[in-house]
Amino acid sequence: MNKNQQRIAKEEADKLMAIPGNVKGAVILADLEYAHQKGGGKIIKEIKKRLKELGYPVDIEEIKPMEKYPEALSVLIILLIKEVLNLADEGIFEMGGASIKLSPFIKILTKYFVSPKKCFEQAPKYWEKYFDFGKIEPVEYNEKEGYTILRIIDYRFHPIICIFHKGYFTQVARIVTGKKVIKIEETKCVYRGDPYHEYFISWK
Amino acid sequence: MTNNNLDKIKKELQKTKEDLNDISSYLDDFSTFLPIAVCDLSPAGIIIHINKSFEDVSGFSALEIVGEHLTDIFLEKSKINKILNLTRRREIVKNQEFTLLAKDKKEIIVNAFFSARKSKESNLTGYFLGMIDISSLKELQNEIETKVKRKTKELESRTQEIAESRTALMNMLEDVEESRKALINMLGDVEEERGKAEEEKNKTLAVITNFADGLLVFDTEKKLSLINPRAEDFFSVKSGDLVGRPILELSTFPTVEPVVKLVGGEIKGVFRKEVQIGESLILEVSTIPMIREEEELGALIILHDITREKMIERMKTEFVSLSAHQLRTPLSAIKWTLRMLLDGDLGVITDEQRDFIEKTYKSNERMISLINDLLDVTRIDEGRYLYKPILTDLEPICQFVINSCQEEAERKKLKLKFKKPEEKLPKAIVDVEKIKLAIQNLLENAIRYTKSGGEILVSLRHLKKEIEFSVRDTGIGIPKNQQARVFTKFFRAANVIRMETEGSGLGLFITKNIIEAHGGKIWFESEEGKGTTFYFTLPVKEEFGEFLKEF
Repeated sequence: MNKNQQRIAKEEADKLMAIPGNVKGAVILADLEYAHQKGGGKIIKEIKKRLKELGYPVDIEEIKPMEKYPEALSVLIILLIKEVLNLADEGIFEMGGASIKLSPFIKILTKYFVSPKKCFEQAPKYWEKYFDFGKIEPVEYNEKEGYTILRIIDYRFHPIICIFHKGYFTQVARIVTGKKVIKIEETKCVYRGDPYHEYFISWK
Repeated sequence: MTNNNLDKIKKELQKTKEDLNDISSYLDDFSTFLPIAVCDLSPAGIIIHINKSFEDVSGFSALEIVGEHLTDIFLEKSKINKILNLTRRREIVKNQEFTLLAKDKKEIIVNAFFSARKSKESNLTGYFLGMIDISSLKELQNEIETKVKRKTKELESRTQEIAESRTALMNMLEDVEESRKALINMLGDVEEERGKAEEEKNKTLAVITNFADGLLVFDTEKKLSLINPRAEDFFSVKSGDLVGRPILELSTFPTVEPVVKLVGGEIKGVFRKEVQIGESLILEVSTIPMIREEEELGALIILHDITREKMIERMKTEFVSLSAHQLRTPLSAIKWTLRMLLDGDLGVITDEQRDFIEKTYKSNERMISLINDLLDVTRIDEGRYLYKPILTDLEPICQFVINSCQEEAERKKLKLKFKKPEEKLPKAIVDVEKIKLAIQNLLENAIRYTKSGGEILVSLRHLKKEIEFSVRDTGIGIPKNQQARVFTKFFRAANVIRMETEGSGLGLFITKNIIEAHGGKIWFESEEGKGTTFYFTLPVKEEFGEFLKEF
């Protein structure tokens, strides 16, 4: 582990786990698959061990893609993956993209990836299929200029997820635009005092 | 909504979730098991999902490849786009061969199937791509194709060879046909020529059969191949008894033996040699080698019956001999009578009388000399000329003759020299009187036909196996066109006749016969107006001994 990498403390975990809101197991499974691919079976065991240590013993092999689980658990698992794999921000960004790549349910949702515009329009529905809290709001789509602006409202779990979402959106934009170069910037963030998260995504 | 209904709905929802999870698990298992590499593509051609087989074939994990464009992992990039467009229209495109660029840079040949995914509203939502690694099959195919190509090439080559052989064969057949026609023409010509040849042969046979001379034809192995009727008569034999026998075997026939003895086993060159067959037949034998275009075909012996000529000649010789003897007796009487008159034994005579008597005496002497020459010639003709051969030195004989001619040479103011050999000459077996006569004839000719002031040189020298005698003069020479007749009887050159000198024309004939009777050779070199040199050689003792064996 990186010397600068701090282990998740019990208090921090408890505080996180107290935040309400659920997500479908498919999202958690995608993150765990990423960890598995990066570190193998021992990483999964380590995460299980850490969850237990933090007072949240979860049989992660039993997580079902269509069942709902606390989003807080999903975020805690991301934090633990970061911890055990000693990931920097780039790793978190990659993991966000991997969520698209490795999710077994992603194929069901490809109908939302027909075109950038369609994807932009369908984003709220997509969000609702996975989350039972907050929402995603399409603000602007400019096909000619090649950019879009999205907002995530009522989502406040951990700042690491801002990076995770940047990776996620970047990968989605790559899939729907077919472009190699995607730029993303979080122009507004609740942790910087803004009322929501806002992302400016552009492509060439 | 009542609580019961709500519970019922929750239970149904839970069952549905469980079914979905089961379906998800089943799909995962199925996807993992599926031996065909499968991937989902976005409408933009971005890879959004791959199964386990895809990972195995490409070497890429989902993490590495999802999000990449399909063209990134295939060699035929433009074809991928075309196929995706085609799939969009047709929904399914099968059996497309592509080259997958695996993670390890290996190029894998795959057979790909494309299927378009569409929403209920028929909007394109993406594609399915299934592919099978056919590298092994491709290798096998390539191997088979290579083999087929090689075999095809071999077959083509063989076909080409066969075609060429066929063409060559056809050409050969044409050539053969032409040759056949040419051969038929040639056969026609040959038949015609054969007819002509047969005719010629018949003519030749007729000529040979009716030829007045006897003919014996020998092949290259010296076997008698033909004897004409005239020769059968000469030898009193039948053709069937002789033909096919080697020449030496023919000597077993007594009548043929003299001819065989003359020509020998090799049928040596003979020209007009006489052979006595029995008591009453004399044949003149000549041999002719039969040569056509430098190829020796055999030899021909021509037998000419000269019995009658020889009889006439003998009668003539006998007549000349008898006449000469008859003439010499009165001439001798005249000689001695004239001698007595000149010597004054019969009384004193006047000068005028002496002059007449001396002229008569000289004429008588010439007559006697001519008679002697004629007698010599008859003896030569009769083959009884060589009487007394003895072993002796030639030099004194020469010296004697030179001395006897010296007075006449001086009278004509000629320089007569004798160049003696530096070393002593070996002895030779000679008839001294005859050799003296031969030398005398040559020397007298030299004196007679050399004008005053000329030179005569007599030489003797020892060659390897013989002694060479020569008389060189600076006389009138012998005309070129008459040189061939110099040694014949009664020959006198035109320029000699013009000089009105004495001479019977028998001297050189006698000389030649004397020398040849000694086993020697005689010849001359002459240029009209410049002089003549006569040579003869005589074999020294050993050679002469061999020569005598022939007599």
